Amino acid sequence: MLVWPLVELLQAAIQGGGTSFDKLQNNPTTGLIVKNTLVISAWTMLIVVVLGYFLAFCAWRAKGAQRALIIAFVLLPFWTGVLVKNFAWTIILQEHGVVNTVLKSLHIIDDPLTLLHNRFAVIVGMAHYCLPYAFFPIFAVMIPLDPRIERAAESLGASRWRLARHVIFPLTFSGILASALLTFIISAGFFITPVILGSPSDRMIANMIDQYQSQFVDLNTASLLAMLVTAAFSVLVLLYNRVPKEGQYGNL
Amino acid sequence: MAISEAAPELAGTRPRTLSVNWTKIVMWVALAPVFVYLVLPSLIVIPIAFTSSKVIEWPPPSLSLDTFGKFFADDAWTSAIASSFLIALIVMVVATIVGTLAAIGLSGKPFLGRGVLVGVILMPLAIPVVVLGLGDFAFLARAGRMLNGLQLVGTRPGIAVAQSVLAVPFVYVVMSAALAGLNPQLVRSAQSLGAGTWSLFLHVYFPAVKMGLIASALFAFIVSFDEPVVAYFLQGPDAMTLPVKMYTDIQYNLTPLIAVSSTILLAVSTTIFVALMLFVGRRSKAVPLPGAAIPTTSSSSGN
Repeated sequence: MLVWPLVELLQAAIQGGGTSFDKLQNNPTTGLIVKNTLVISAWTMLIVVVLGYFLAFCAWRAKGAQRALIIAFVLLPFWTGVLVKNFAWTIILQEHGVVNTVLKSLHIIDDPLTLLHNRFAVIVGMAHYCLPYAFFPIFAVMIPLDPRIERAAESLGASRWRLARHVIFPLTFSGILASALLTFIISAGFFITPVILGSPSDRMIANMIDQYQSQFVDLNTASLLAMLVTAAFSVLVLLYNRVPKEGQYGNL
Repeated sequence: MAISEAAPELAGTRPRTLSVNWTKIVMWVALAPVFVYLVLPSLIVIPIAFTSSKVIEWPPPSLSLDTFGKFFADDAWTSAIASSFLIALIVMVVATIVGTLAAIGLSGKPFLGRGVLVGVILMPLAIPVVVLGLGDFAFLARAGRMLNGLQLVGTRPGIAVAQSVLAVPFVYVVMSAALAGLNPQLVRSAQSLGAGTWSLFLHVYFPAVKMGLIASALFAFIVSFDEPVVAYFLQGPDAMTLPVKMYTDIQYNLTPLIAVSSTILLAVSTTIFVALMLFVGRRSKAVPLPGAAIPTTSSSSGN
């Protein structure tokens, strides 16, 4: 049940073979969808790594109950199903949604902004989903850092900027790398969010697999695409597994 | 300058300066919008579920239970609730048994091929779930043909079997951690005292990993209950789970009924989260948090 479905796909992909490959190559949307996947995933990754780093840094500086509070907030999205989140974003971002209502009542805007069914909405929704996955790898490398290194650097005359640039950042770089790779891997596989929050031109690679399967009823081509995606993902996952994870500076 | 400022602080002779507190205030002010971003999507669906309006509007004009009434009078939605609960219960049982047996079998001394087996068990975490969904579809279609035309695609058992594969890695990780706390000599001494397989499990393994088992079962349940993609590929007229029904309705039939469904999903996952915290979180440190502890976590329940 674990391996056989993949064998089945591999077989169908081989059966389709060159014909399927030509179909993918001649499909004018293939290029667009690959580009969408890379661009949307890269933006999501960038946003969540920055936000995740900020949250992890705050959690690292805070102690006790305050740290627990920050972690609780980060964990909350884990416990909300992806459809609930996507539906919530449609309520928040739609024409008569929460954001537009608030901005109007504050007289910041007169006409509602178009916030839904575009790339902006997809990235907002995906970043919300991915943020916990960005937070934990960074937080894991930060925990063992001794808070006194801040004072040590200050006492040696380092400015705040130099402290961040030359002490904290290098020590947490492996966490950043792990969190960037992980969130990119997760983002590139998104299926639900691009459909619900995006426009038809924001579809991603997972949607294309579904399109070949359910719209064109072409299991062979869908399988070939799925196998290509799996191969690309395997490379990323192998890279991710090579990144040192936590606590290699624990004895600092 | 920095030295003269920092040194007394290091010695702990000077009370904390104002500037330290300012850093804190700035930090929490900057955190506030991030918190709103994290929390808002989880809470906003609840007032919409109690709206008196027939369309989704913000703010709800007034509160009422009409939408709930309509939801439970709608056969499509009640059937979706039944599917979701039934499938999640099957997944809970199947995945907990399979994952626990795998963890027991692979615990203890390393042996040849162990790494490969662990890799296979954890594989669903590293493969895009859409690929698994498509693979499950192709596999169950063929298996059905081979079993004299048995219908598997588009049925509740079909979805349950496929989703169990997604839940097994979570069970495996939790149970491996729980088993790591079990002294292997306990097993050997029980065996030397003549304990059979069953009594070994009942009196040695079970008490040691009870909390892990509860946590595993809860994880497995929620993995299935919130899972949209595999359930989407394998859906059928009588086998449409809540997330799949929501996915379709958000696109073609956007009504406050979806908010009721969201509230139900939210209530179930909150209950499970609280149960995990109450039963497991306090007693055993060995049970890891989801995602945080899983080595190659990709999102299994997802996206």
